[in-house]
Amino acid sequence: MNDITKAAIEITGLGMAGIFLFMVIFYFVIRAIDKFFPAKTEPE
Amino acid sequence: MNFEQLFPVLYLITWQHLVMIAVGLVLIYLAIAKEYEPTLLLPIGFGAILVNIPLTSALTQIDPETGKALEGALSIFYEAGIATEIFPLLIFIAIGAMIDFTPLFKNPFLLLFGAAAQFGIFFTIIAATMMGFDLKEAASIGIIGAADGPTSIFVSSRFAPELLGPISVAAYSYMALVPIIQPPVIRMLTSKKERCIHMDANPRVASRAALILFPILVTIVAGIVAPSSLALIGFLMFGNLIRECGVLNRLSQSAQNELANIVTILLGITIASTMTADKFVNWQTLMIIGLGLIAFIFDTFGGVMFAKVLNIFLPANKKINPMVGACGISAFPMSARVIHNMGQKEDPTNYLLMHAVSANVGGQIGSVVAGGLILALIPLFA
Repeated sequence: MNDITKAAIEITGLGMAGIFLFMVIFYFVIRAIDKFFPAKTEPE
Repeated sequence: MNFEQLFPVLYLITWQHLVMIAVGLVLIYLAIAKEYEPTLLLPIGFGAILVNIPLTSALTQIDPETGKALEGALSIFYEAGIATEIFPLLIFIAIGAMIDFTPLFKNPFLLLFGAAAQFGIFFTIIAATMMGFDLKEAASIGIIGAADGPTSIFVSSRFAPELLGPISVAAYSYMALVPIIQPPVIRMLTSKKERCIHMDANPRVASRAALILFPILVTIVAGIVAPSSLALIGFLMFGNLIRECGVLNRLSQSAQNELANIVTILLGITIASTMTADKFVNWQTLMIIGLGLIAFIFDTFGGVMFAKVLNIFLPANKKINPMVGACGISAFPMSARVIHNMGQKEDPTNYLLMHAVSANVGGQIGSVVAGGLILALIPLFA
């Protein structure tokens, strides 16, 4: 395995962790917004 | 004056030019007859013909007598719109104005599939480096897996502008082929029982304040965590804020229609300026097309497998239909429709559309975040 591929694997780890981190933060942002500006329930 | 002087193009044209003209015709055929992403593939196809006729004045040519450059319109468009990254960013404003984030407020948890289904990007980066591409080229090829044309163009124009043509063609072609690519991969990874899992619908809707705050807060958070992703995420969210604020309906409509249409025309035909025979007719192009397919397959793999892993820990009545995981790509709303139809085929009483759309909207955010992260990470290693 060459050095470039090793770097690519490292980038994969960091990249996937980064995307999940972003999404988890966005998830909490949505939950927080929802808490302070509550969503209505659609009428049946 | 002899025949050669009268028709120099006939003496200069090579088989590579003819191959590229044929490629252009195929793209036009796919756009018109099959309706595969016609808004992009038709301008790209026509542009491919335009730039592969020798001595074309659409590209900058050197005057053999004076040695001076004769500027071509497409070369100017390229320098002004792609090299500066302005065209893809303007498209992001238009896309942002088209996105409705309400489904995310119904099922915010499904946002995570927008992360899992970006796996194909990174898997492909590794595969590309094994095939001899350097890190910047590999990243540009991997981003085809974002299933998001403007993000692919944005990243590749920065890291590997010489590969922009094949990358754009692969990205838009595979986006159009999502209904063909995803179902067999999903069937291979899931059992009939898993494909029949029902998910509870959430009747909540988001408040107006929430929809206005979301793009602002996402931009601030993205800026704090990864400032290099701000151009991508910021323009997308700016477009969305125009849509949701409720006082700029005219601008919102303009962004969704006039802006999107004008920039799409310019973007498509300008991308074609990179599809000259000398850059396109080679093995590298075929490898890029193949790697693009791998990226889409492993995106689907990532989303489905993430759902299956989550299901191990979730209670029986809260399990996720793994097909929904595959919607974490950015191809909106095509992927959601494909999954909903697959669910209906397995069990006509199973309505997955709402969940699929939520994951699909998550994929739209995920692809932009992935693009931003790649822009931040690659310079640290390359």
